[in-house]
Amino acid sequence: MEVDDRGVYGQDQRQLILPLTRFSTEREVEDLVNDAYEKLKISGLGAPNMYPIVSEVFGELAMNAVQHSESPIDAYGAIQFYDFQDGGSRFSCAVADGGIGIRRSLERNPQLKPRVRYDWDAVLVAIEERVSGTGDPHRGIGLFGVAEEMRRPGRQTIIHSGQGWLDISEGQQNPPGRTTLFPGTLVFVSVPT
Amino acid sequence: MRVFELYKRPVLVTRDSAHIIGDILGTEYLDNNGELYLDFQGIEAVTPSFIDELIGILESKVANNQEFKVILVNFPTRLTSKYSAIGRGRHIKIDEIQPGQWELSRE
Repeated sequence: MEVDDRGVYGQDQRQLILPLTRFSTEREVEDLVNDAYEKLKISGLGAPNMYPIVSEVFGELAMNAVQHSESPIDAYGAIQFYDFQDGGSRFSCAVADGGIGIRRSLERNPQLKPRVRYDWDAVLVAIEERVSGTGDPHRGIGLFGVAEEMRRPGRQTIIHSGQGWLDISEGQQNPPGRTTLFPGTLVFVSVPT
Repeated sequence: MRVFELYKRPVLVTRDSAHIIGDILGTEYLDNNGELYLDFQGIEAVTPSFIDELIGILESKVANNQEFKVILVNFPTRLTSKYSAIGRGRHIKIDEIQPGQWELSRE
């Protein structure tokens, strides 16, 4: 595939920590996260104490996609550093898949099924502690941990699965909403640095 | 036990990778007080899922005596509410004795 990028000026390639990358196995996730961490260190961009946060969050999101999405097109992830003209800078991560979505994943757990009738219910339930479609009481830490980490000032998480949408930012959490269909799950996080 | 020597990489992500520690863990790693020290020097980040799995493994491997105690040394992250929640879910108390040093014990 060729992209017509005439008139688009090149950016500092150091800012592209992880280009949009396809993955499907836990091993690939472990490799991607460690490669991204090394690239963050080499880049010297942003605050170094954010590198572990970015790596950890991306790793959890990517693992969720591999383990729960059942995506026939695998999963995709990217990490980017943005340096804004107003002086602010951020790390952003996104992971997306074309799988069954959070609602269908969670409703496999009979105890959760009554609570996840709609996609917008499911995105809210998914960030609770120890909630998992597996029914294993020792699972369900990944998205909970990401949400907890992203409640700090200046940080933002957007979860879009099916028709469900949840925006968590700056110590607050808006009610989940109904939105246009995303055929899978997309999670975007943004961290100031 | 030096954790980095087992992995040779700075970020520990998956639940499966926590089992590498479990697979080699034996009583020879316990000190005279029955405590286990895991040194994370060289590890820069860990996911909550990794820690959750590790705690479960440690509990099953080292929990023969009631005085279950594991010390994580040079641990790469501060103790925050999400990690405390992970401990609660496993009935394990996590204390941050000092920056970079966590103590795991039974609740």
